[in-house]
Amino acid sequence: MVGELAMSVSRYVAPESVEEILAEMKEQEGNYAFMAGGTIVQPLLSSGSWLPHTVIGLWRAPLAAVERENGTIAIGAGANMRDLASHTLPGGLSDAARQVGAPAIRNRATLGGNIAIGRGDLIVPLLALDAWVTLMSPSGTRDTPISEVLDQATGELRDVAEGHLLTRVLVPATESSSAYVAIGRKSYNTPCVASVSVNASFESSTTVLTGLKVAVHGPQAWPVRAEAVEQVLVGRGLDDGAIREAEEAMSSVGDGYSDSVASAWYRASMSRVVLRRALAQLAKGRP
Amino acid sequence: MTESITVRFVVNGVETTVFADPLTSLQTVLRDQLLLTGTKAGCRQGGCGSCSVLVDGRLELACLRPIAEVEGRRVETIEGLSAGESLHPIQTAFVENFALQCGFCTPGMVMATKALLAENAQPTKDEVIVALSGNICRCTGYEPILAAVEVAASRLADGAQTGASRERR
Repeated sequence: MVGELAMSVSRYVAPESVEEILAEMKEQEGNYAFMAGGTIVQPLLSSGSWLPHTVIGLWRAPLAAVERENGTIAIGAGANMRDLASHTLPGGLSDAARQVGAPAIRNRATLGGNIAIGRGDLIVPLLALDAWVTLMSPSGTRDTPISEVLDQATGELRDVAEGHLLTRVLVPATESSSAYVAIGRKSYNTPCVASVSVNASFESSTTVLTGLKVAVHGPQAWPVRAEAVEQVLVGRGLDDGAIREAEEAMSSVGDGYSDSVASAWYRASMSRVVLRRALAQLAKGRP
Repeated sequence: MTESITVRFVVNGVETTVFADPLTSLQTVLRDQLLLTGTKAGCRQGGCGSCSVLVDGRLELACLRPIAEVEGRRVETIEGLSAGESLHPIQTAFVENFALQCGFCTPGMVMATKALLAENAQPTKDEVIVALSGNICRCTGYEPILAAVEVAASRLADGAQTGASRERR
């Protein structure tokens, strides 16, 4: 071996069912880490920078199905970006999946992993869809809004990474108009500088919004619902004045954040740009 | 340390058995145990594309797949494309179009091209750019690579034979 696993985890298991995963979780009493597509965890293990006692591989368990039932789409947390991009999912979810990484990454990276890092690109459309997630633990199963799993005020991720198995994501099989727009520093295979997802319902034959959900990543260091933007636009037509006011409202969502990809100023500015482009997409084709 | 396991899989058409830590990456097993060093080890974190291989026909990064998850699968590396001196049409197109300089990214570029052309025999330039967007080259400026992919697509569409098929004849 060259440069890998100089130290190592103590145990690796790859259960074939959710029940077996839950049994393993109970036995390990929290001293484990999940690995699905490996795009996040495997490099940490290979470099030795993270060495949990036990790694539970999720690849054998049936967690990747996409099923439609009673107005809801249940998306298995193990579905990868390529799978999601190949479906016609609401709220720009398929568009967002199509823009994650490069093809080889999309062939491996899973929806569950994208959520479990707390900053994944797909959280933006999921927030704008009012998605719920199903969390299983040895003591029970519960469905929770994604806006509670990712605390909107603090960005803290609750229950997904520890103590619970994220098995599926539930989104409404909505026919509403939607758009997802992301900007990076290059065209492909690049981290987002800012991204926005909008879901809208319109008064018949007009651009007057009867309902709107907006989520954005850029003003804050984690994806958030932009309720200030929603309040400005609902009940109004998507004219230039309304869109300008919406951009101003976006400024109140946050001041941006700086990292190696972009400065806070640039992120805040691009958050307004992606909103403008998304609203323009919504208006396009309306009478 | 995790208990080592026996993993059986097919590499470039050859039934293969290795004994390894289950979380060792496919990249390390290919290079260090099977001595298939055409698969390069660049960033080791899924960012450079130099370890691109095909797993069951799909493009993957060998640094991101633990060997335990390769059990029963079919892996193709750059070594599987040519047959002796007889290069695959994609490799020939890369050579003829000066699509490599240092050559470190080239095996990954070629495997990403193979994955693309298997799904989309006549890609547009934009589709090629998207398909190769995970493979980083610091020498060529990419334009010769795009030209090589276009030539390879054209030749394969015209029925050019791969090195392997010539070998079997």
